Parts: sequence; C-alpha cells; structure tokens
Amino acid sequence: MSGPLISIVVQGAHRVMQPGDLLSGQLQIDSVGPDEVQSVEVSVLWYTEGKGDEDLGVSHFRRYTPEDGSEIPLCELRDFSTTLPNSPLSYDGLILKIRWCVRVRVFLPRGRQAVAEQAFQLGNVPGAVVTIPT
Amino acid sequence: MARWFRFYGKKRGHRRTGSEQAARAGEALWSGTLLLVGVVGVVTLLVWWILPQWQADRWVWLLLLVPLPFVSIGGGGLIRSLLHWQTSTERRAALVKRASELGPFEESAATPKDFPAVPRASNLTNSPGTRLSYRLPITSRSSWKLFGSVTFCLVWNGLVGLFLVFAASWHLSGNPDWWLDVVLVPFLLFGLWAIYALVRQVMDTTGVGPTWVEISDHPLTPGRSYELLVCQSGRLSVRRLDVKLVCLERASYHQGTDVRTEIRTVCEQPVLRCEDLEINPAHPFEQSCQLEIPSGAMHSFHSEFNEINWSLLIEGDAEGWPPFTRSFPVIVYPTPSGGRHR
Repeated sequence: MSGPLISIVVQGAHRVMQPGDLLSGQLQIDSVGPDEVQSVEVSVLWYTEGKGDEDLGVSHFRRYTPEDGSEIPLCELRDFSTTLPNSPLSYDGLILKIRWCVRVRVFLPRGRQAVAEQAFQLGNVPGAVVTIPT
Repeated sequence: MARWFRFYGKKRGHRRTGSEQAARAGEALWSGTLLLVGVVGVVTLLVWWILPQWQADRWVWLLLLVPLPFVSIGGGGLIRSLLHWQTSTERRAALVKRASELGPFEESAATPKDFPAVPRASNLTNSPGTRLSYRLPITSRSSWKLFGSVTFCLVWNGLVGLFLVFAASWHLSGNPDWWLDVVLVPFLLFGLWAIYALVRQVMDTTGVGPTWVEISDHPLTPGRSYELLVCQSGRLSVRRLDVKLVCLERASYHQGTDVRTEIRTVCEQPVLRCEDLEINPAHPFEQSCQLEIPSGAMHSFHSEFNEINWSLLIEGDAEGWPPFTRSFPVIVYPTPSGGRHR
C-alpha cells in the first residue's frame, strides 16, 4: 500500500523571500484514512548540505494531534504562516550550502512516517565564486 | 512491500537502507545493558565488599568508580533513546531553540536572538580602540604551537634527564649499564634539538612584535565601508606587509570514528599593501585605510558542523625573520534587505 500523498503550497515560493516577509501556505494529506494519521508536524527550517555533516535549525514548528481539540481532521486542508527570520540566508557555497524549506512530517501507525518538503529561497546572496587574486 | 532485514546498512546520499526503528531499538538495548551491568556491579560491590569493610578501610568506597561509569553512560544513553523515540529532528531542534530562548540563557547564547546562526559580535567589541571605535582581538595559532612545543620539550627532556640520573648513578656505583648509555644517546640528542627548536620558536614568535588592528564600527554589513587602522611594532625591516579580507567555509564531518574538517577559501580581497618599512620601538608602523565589504557577500554563519568565517589577515615578510601571519576575526551581519545592497 503506498504512503500518504502530502501536498504543500507556499504562497510566492517562485519568488525570493526576504527576512521579515510573511511566509504562508496550505498543506493537505491525501490517500490516507483520517484514523491512520496519528500526528502532523509542520516546520519552516533551514538545513546545510555539502561536505560537512548536516545542521538544522527550525524557525517555525507546529505539531497537530487529534487531542488538540481542533474540528479540522488532520489530513484536511490546513493553513500555516510565519514571519521569516533575519538569518541564515540561503547560500550556495563551495563546500557548504544553506537551504530553506517547509517540511511536513506525517506520523502513521507502527512507527511509519511520511515526509514532504517545499523549498524556497531566503535572501539574495549570490552563489559563491572563488575570488583569490593570483 | 515488506522490507527484508539486512545485516548491513548502506548509505545512499541522505538515505540509509537500514531500519531506523531497528537502529534505535538496538541503541536502547545497548544502553539498557550497560545500565544493568552498572547497577548489578554497584549492588554487588556494596553488598559483598564495601558495607562489610568500610569501617576498616575508608578507601574501599573508591571501588564504586568501576561500575559508576556504566551506570552513567547506560542511563544517559537510555534516557536519550527514550526522548528521541518517535521524535523528529525538527521537533528536537524546536525544543532546543525554545530552551535557548529562556531568559537566563539568552545573553550567553552563542548567537543573538535577532540573527539566528550568526555569531555574537559582543566578544569582538569589548575592547575599545585608541583612535577608532574597536580594537579587534587576534586569533593566534602560534601561541598554541608554542605551548605545545614547551610541553613536549619539558616532558621529553624530563624523562631523558631521569634516565640520565639512573645511568650516572650506576656508573658512580661501579655497575655501568652500557646498553642504557647507548640507547640514551639518540634520545639525548633529540632532546637537545628540541630545546634549540623551542628557543628558535620563542624568538620567532616574540621577536616580530605585536600587531593590532582597530576598526571604526562592528559588526560589519555587506556593501558598507569602514575605516581601518593597522599597527605593527617591533624592530624590523619589513619587505612587504599585506592586509587582506578573507572569507572561509569550514565543514566538519564524521568519517568512521574520526572527525575531519575541511576549509575552503571563498574570498580573499586585498585591503592594504606596504613595502620597504623600517619599524623600530620608537616609531611603530601605523597606516589607515578603507575596508569595503563586498555587496552581496554572505554573512557570518555558525552551526555545529559548518561555519562561514570572515577575518582580516595580515601577512608580513621581514628581513632576518620567517614570514608571519596574524588573523583578526570579524563578524558580518546580513543586510536588512537580505543580501541585496540598496
């Protein structure tokens, strides 16, 4: 049986976000019964890629469980929004890259999880080009 | 489709073919076993050794030093496994972030609240300058090298001296040990060379004289210019003195049980170049110049395994001395527009 289908829509993901901007969007979980979803976590986070081990920092985190008392089932369409911080900015370096994304993690029975993410760019830092005078 | 159990795991990019649940269960089992061994050890020692004998021998309590590490490592590992069970990395990171924002710890946090993952500038601005606002601290790797050399020299020559005393006493008592004498010769020669190298290193480190840098403002912002004052003292004939703005990427990664670090220079921008300087204690060299941070430059960044560091590098070449390098770290903050200079 295939896993849940997680849809994430970030408003303005096609453009470059700036520090202080309001990041908003919707998420929905399909192809799974409402009783199968134990909890849903929505995070706006940055992580590193490249030569070094991965570092991760969370700017926004929200966990939804059936015990929250919300009338909206966990897999139904849900809004999220957060104000983006001043740093760190997205960066494409030589041995280090910093990426921003919205990540949704769905917890299912028997320890199974499903993860989806939607990337976006924070800031206008150009990609690193080695500038060492000869 | 059910996944077959594999006896080995293979990493493919960011994914692993093994079962994360099985790995966590194995980790918890291992920690639990250590804890059990430690607890059994503590109870056994208490019942069979310590309690029956402690009145006769007060030092018997030291036996607890043997099982206590098992208890602490096993207990800590088990608690960590239980806390991480079914807890995502994002949730753990959010908990850490919330804990670091608590009032008592906010001022001592490594990064300011307004600029996450950017190092604090306060450590670099607590020394006022004489002519400009701040005097930058120096990162001196030569000090640590000197400390290491002194320690090695003391330990090596101390041991060699001890064996020399033994050899001399045996000679004086009429029972010389010629094998010891022969073996000691190369160790003694190496020890003498170590002393010579140490003296040379002390002269090289202290003979050039201190370098200091003052700056008009800090932290720095891309696209802005700052006034810089570079000073070099000592008694030197300097052929060349270069000041550069340098940006480095630093990445640490685990390779087996080793931790390796790779450093790559992203930007090296010349700031000042002076040639043919005569420096003496009465007239130290002083030069003002402008420091421009490139617009669009990436800000300073610090996380557990990855860093972006900016610094001012001063390289000098003086007659009769080996080339010297002095590094002064600076912090670059992001521009309010997020990297786009207006």
